[in-house]
Amino acid sequence: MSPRLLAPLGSGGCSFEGEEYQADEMGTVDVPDEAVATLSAHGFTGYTDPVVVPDEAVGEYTIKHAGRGKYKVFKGDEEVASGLTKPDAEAEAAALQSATPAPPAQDAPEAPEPATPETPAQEATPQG
Amino acid sequence: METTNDTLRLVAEAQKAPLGDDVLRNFASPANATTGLMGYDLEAPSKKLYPVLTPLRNRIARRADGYAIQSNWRAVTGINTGSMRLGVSAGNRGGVVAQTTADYLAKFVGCGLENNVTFEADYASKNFEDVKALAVTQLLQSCMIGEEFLDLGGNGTVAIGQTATPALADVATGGTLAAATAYKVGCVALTLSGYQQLVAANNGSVNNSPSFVTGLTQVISRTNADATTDNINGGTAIISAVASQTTASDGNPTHCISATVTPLAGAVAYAWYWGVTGASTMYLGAVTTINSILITAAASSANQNYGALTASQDNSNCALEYDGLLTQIMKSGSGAYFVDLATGTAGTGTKLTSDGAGGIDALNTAFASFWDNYRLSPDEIYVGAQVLLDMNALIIANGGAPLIRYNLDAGGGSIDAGTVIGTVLNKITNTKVKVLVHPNMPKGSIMFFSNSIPYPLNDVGSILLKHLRRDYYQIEWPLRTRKYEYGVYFDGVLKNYFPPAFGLIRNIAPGH
Repeated sequence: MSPRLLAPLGSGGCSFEGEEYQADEMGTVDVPDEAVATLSAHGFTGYTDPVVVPDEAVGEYTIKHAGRGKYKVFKGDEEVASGLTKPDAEAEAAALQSATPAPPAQDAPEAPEPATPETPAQEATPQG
Repeated sequence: METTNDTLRLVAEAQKAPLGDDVLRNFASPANATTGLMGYDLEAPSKKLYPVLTPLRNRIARRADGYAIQSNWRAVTGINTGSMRLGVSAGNRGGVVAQTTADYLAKFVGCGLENNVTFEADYASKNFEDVKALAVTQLLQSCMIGEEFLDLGGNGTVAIGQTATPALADVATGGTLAAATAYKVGCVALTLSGYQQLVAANNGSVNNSPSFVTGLTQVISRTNADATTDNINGGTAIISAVASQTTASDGNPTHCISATVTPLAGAVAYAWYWGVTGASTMYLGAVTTINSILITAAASSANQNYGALTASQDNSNCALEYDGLLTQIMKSGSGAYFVDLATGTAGTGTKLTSDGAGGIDALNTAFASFWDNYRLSPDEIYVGAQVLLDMNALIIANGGAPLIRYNLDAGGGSIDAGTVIGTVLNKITNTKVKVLVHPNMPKGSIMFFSNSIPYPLNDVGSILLKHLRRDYYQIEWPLRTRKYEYGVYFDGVLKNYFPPAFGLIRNIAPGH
C-alpha cells in the first residue's frame, strides 16, 4: 500500500521522478515509498485517517470528540462547553446534568397502592 | 589733457560691445583634452587594477622532475590490519601481521596561454609602457589564476553523470505563477568550472556579469593561437529529465513551485530552467549552490532555453585538465570527508548551526570523522565570503562577552566594531584550524585542507605536490606575421598523497 501524505494547504500535488501525483480534495496524495523522504522537503507530511471517537451520553448531555484530544459538551444541538479534556468534559457533563431540575411531577406515573399482606406476619422466634 | 563727458560716454559704449574675431587674439583654455596648445598629462605606465589571487598555488610544493606520461606512486594504507594480538606462548614466535597497499597514478597535462603584440602596438606604446613585457607578465598572471582554479576545481577524470529528475511540489501562495497550469522544470548539475563560467568568476577581473541569456556552454570550441581547435567541456552534467507539476485549480495566480534534486557527487551548483510547455520554452531562471529552489515567477524568455542544451551529453570533465582538490575529495573511494547538509526545506536548505559552545556543529562532525577514521585534524578551512560571514556570526553571537572596543580620546569617542574569526578550535585534537577565504570557492561549500600527514616516517614531504614535467616557461615564437607572439606554459599534475586528510561540506544554505 502506497504511503499517503498530506500536502501543504492549497497545494495541487507533487512530482517525483517525473511522475506527477495530484492532491485529492482532502489534500492527500498517495506516493511511492521512496518519495516520502524527498517530499518532506516540500512540506508533505505523513497522513493517517482520523480515529473516530464515539459520542458519550451523560443524561441530557453528549460529549463529542472535537479533534486533537479536545472534547465538547452538547445539550441537544447546543454546544455548552468546549476545549476540554475527556475527564474534564465528563465532569462538566455530570455537573450540568446534576444541576438540571427534575421533570415535573404530573408527568410521572401514579404510584401503586401499597399491597395488602396476604399472609400473617411471622411470629418471632425466641432466641436460645 | 582734459577728459570730456563725450570721451567717457564713448569708452563706456566701447566696453559694452564685444570685440570682433579679428581683434580677439588672446589664448583661451582648450575645449577638450586633445586640442589646443597643451601637452597630454597621461601617467605612465598603465595601472593594473585586477586581482591575482592564488593562495593554493602559492602554498603547494612544486617539483619539476616528472617524465613519461603519468606520475605513479604506491602507498601503504594500513599495518596489522587484522589487529593481530601480541601475546606469545613460551618458546614460540608471534603472529604475522598483514598490511594493505594501494597504487596510484596521475596523468601529466599541459597547461598554458598565448598572447601577442602587433608591431604597431609596440611602436605606439613607446614612452608609455613596454607592451611586450606587459603581455608576457599578464600571460604569467593569467596562467597562475588558471592554475589556482585547476588546483581547486579541475576535473580531468570524473564524469559525474546525469542530474536527477527534479522532485516538484505546488505551493499555493508566495509567488506569481498561475493556477491550473502545468509547469515544467529541468536542472543541470555544474562542476566548479561550469558554475564559474555561468556566474562569471572574477579572479583576474573586477566585477562579474553573469549572463543567463548566454547561459551554459556544454562544449567550448576554442581556436588556438596556431589555428588549431580544442573542444573543452564546460563543466555540465547530463541534463535532467523534465519534470512537470500542475498547480491547483484555485484561481489564484499566487503559486510557487518548489524543486529539489538529489545532490550529484562532483557538482557544486545547479542551474534551473522552467516554463510551461516544454524544453524550448523552459528558460534558465536561477543557479543555486544548494540542491533546491523555490520558483516564484516565470523565467525571462530572453534567457537560454532548455532545448538549447544537448541531452545525454556529460560535459563535466575535461581530459585536458588535471584533477583539483574538489574533484579528488568527491571522487568515489577517495576516503576524503565528503558530506552534504540535508536538503531541508526546499528553496531554503540547511544552514550552519552553532554548537552553543563557540563552534559550528557541522565542523565538529567533520573533525570527529577525521579523528575517528584517520587520527588527524585538518590545518585549514577554505570558504567563500558568505560562509565565512555566517560562520563568524554564529561563533561570535554565541553568547560571548561583548566584542566591541570603545576607544576614547580627547577628541571624542569612536567604536571599533566587529570581529572576525581567524581560526576555529578542533575540540577533539585541541588544535586551531585556520579559516581562509578563497576567491574561487563556491558559495555553500567548506573545504578542509591539510599541510602534512601527522604520521611518523611517512616519506611524504608535502601532502600535496605539483609534480611537473616542466615548470613555468615562456616562449617567444619565431615571427610569422608582424606580431610578437608569446606563450607561457607548464606541464604537470596535482598529486595528493593522502586525500583522507581533506574534506568537503556542500549544500550549505546562506544565513545563520
